[in-house]
Amino acid sequence: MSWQFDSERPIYTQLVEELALRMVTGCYGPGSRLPSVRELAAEARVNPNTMQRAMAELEGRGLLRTERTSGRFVTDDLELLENEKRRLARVHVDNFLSRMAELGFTTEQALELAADKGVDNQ
Amino acid sequence: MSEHSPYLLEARSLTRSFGRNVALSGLDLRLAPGHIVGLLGPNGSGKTTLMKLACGLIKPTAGEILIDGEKPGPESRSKVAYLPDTSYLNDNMRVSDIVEMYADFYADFDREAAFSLIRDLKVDEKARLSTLSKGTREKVQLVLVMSRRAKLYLLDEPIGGVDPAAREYIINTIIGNYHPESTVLISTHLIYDVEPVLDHVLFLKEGRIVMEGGVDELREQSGKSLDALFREVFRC
Amino acid sequence: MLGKLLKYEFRATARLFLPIYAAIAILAGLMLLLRALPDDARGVSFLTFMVGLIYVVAAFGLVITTVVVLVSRFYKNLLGQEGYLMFTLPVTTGQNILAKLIPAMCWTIGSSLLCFLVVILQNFFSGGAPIRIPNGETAGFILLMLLALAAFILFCYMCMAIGQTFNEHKFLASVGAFIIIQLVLQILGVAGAFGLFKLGALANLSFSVDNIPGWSVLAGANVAMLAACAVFFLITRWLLDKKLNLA
Repeated sequence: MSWQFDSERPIYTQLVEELALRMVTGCYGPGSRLPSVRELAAEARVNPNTMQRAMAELEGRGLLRTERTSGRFVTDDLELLENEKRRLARVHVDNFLSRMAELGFTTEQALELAADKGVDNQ
Repeated sequence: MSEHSPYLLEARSLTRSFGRNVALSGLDLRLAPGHIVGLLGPNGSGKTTLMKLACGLIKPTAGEILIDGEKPGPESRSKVAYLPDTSYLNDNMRVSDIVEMYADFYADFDREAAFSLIRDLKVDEKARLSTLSKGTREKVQLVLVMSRRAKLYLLDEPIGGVDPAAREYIINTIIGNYHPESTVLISTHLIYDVEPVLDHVLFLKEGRIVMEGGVDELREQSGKSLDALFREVFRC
Repeated sequence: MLGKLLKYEFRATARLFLPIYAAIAILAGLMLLLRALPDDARGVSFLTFMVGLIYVVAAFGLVITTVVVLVSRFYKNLLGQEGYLMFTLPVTTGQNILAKLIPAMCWTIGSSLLCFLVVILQNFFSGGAPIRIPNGETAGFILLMLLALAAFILFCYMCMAIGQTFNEHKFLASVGAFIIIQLVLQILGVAGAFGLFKLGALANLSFSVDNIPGWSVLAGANVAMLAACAVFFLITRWLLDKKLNLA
């Protein structure tokens, strides 16, 4: 996975999203150790302070925990990860629905279309 | 012992003119440890002048500049790692000689780190600088500067004249060797490439700071990238 | 730190001087060898002549090299782009100047001695006049020579420090500074001597050289030369500290 940022929004927000996505998709699996702030900053080519802030935010949400000597770990609370996954899904759904609204579809019509698409695929 | 200052760099009404031309005009600036700061502005906005003042190559016309609480001099130079905007090494020297020279003069120089970075570059240690390409020479200069464990790094246009691949290398070297007790000041007019690396920026225009702030705060407020913001501030 | 600067300066200049020194030493040895041969064969005398000629040319080349290196090291290493490195090292400007002056003096002295190497060696091998222990006056004279040398080098440095303050044609400006300041100093010197003479005449003193003991003239000259060195050094240091204008 590569780190890509769109230019309009704060990098910090995008880092939080990307890290959360990596955790819920298992790229950084439950209970696994995360690379250090400096390593991650170098990998993403972002400012270490910004990376640090993003990690602190995730820690605040309970998705990450710090062990004083051995570094940062992804939570092994599967329910928490599942909730985060749903929260991220919610954002996509909201985006989808508001786009559809712009096109003049009601929520029901939009969902119907999405369901059709799902059926088509099968 | 000098009085302890919380700032690595502090400028008060800093002014420098060259004849009738005012390069910096009443600049007030404070840089605390632990940041990568972008000094952004078009050519001739005073970026190089500020860097030269900070390492004592030139003296202020008025006002003052302090490095870690003291005036620039031999003492402050042992804390400042400066990358000038020119090729400043003797071409006859071998790469290994220059590394040893840096190790000799700067107590904070990490010799092993330097040699390992040189090896990463696939540069022959025994090669004379005159045999290296311009881009490689610039990378060697950056390696020397970033192999110091200095308090303040002053990088004047480090990605100015190099290709995109080299830019990536340079930016990685800067992040990889930066440590949290120090501050890096990077001057550039190529904002797009460095933007994600910075956490604070100063926009310099005709010798004055016209905008300053945290990168994410500025992006949040304006809803624009710094690159776009820069084009707006410096529109002709 | 001065020691480290000196180490690198000697290393950088030795690259240029040592090969020339070696060549001249070989030529000198060759000449002595040829002179030792019986002088009857035409070939030998021709060879002696040729080697002698090459020796003189080489010695002359050495003198030129010394002057060029003395000027260019200061100009290139401190006032050129390498100045960005030299003036951001944790050293003082005074140390940077001394680190150029001391090697320049050593190489000048070495070059001068080498030019007379043949004479010295010949003297030694032919068991000629033993080396005299210098008396006080000779020592004073040697000191004066050394101080004069230092003053001359520092004067060159000062002129380059003045020239570099210009934004263009820095080297030309340095040469210009050299000529103008020399001229002014000459005029001042003549005027000063003339003024002293007038004063002496007014005060009805006789300024005959006979009345002044030799040692005091020498001591006075040494003090004056030392003062000149100090003035040139301080002006150079001030210019490089406050008015540095790297390209």
